[in-house]
Amino acid sequence: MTVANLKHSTIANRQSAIARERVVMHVDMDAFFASVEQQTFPFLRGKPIGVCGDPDGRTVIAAASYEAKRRGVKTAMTIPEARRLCPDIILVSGHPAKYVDTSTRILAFYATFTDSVEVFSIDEAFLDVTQTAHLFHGPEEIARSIKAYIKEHFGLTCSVGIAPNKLLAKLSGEMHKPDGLTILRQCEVAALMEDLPVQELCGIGPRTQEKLNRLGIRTCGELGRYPEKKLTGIFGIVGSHLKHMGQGVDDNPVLPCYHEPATKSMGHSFTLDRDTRDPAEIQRHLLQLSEQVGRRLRRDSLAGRTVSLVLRYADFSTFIKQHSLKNYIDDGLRIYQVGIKLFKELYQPPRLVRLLGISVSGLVRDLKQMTAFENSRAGSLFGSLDAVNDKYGEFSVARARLQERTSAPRVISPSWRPGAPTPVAR
Amino acid sequence: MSTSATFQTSFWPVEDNPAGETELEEVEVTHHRLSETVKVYAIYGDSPHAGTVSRFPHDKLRPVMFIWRNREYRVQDVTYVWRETQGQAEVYHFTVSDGASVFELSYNAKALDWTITGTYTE
Repeated sequence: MTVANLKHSTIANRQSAIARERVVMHVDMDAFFASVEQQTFPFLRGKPIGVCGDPDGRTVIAAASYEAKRRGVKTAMTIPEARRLCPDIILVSGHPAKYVDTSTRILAFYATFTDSVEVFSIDEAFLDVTQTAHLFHGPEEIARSIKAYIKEHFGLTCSVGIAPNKLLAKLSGEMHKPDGLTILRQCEVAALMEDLPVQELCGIGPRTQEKLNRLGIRTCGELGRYPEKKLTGIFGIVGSHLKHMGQGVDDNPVLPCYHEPATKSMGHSFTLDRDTRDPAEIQRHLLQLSEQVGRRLRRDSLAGRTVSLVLRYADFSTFIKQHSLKNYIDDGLRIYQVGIKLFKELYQPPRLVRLLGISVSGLVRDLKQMTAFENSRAGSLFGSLDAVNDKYGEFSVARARLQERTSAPRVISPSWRPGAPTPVAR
Repeated sequence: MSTSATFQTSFWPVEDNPAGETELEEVEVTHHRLSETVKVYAIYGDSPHAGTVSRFPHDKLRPVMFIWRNREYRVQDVTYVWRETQGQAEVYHFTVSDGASVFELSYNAKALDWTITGTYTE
């Protein structure tokens, strides 16, 4: 091989390696809710705070500031537990609308660098900048711009991980928190994974970790070398995926909102302010939940024909029952009628009820456009009611029975995406 | 019976262990929740007002002073701004400080009115 050929071959190899190597960025807001509250209220800065829901309700810590985290307070910890670890913790009621607005604006900024932005949660996102990084002086410069924008405009910090895939981007982003920027190159992956405990990988929870440990697998290096057949024998098709995870391989694309799979079900659940066996109270909560589900279905032009009810008793035992209808529905009252029927079948008097949930699945979109709507009067009534509530806010017009509705639950779905309605307590 | 339905979980996770529930203790900050009309002097424009920094993406509108219960408060710092929709109305929330206390002011862009919704004093 001549020197010229060798040179050409090396360049071609490099170009092909560049073409193969994706550049994925994971951006995670640091202690998001707590940091927003510390920014909002200067007197909370530098102090251990825990953001929770209704102070009179039965909530846990939704987010802890770094000052509280250093004292051992963690997300989802009970309030007594947090107080034991950090007696001077300041508990703050959260403001979902504030976090939703902040997140939406930050996500809009991400979209100025690439159209490939996947919203992982309200405070985490993946960006695939493989095709666009060169326009902004490289991925590191994009990361610095994002950090600067968030700091300047919101006074917040975030941690960024840049790597060849989503698994490694998230892993590297979590290596240096808060306010970190970690770049992991493909050539560094094998060395990093060798001694990395398996539980450090996103997707390996305590149960999987325990199963892997029983097989003598403690590190990613061991997981990556473990025979695939044995793993699939134990974990099924996930076994193959686990082996790849151990090797730091993840071919999952960054999925922008508009590429996400269609919604399979839509539901709401609510933990009651106090346990009850009062039929009127239970009926009212179920009606409210059903109306909320119906409203969301109509807003997204969806209708479904399977209604599921979740019933949790005071002792935390939980029961689920579902019923499929012949016709598709998007009407809160109809959902409620099926729900109350399921409740009567499930309920064991005189047990106290702690949580109620109702969902509709088997969804189809744009049913009304595809078929002649069977009840045009009802359809037109819902259209008018929805228009009033769109204009004046949720529950501006509601069934008389919901006059005494519960002002909680302000919820953000785990599948929250920008553009979705902000949870409003009304 | 099992179901594939996924439920919208409560934004505020609920305690899994019902034992040991306690009321939240009061912190050293006094918070008053209000809903009173307030007279606000604000500046509007793309350029930050001299001596101030336009920190928030939607702070074209910036309160600089307000009169509440016959007392004048000069805004020293806008600590946070966020927007939400209430029906068709866009409502802008401003958390402002006069150096001693923090106030929450809301501007309804449809009704064109200002409300004071809370005060926090350390």
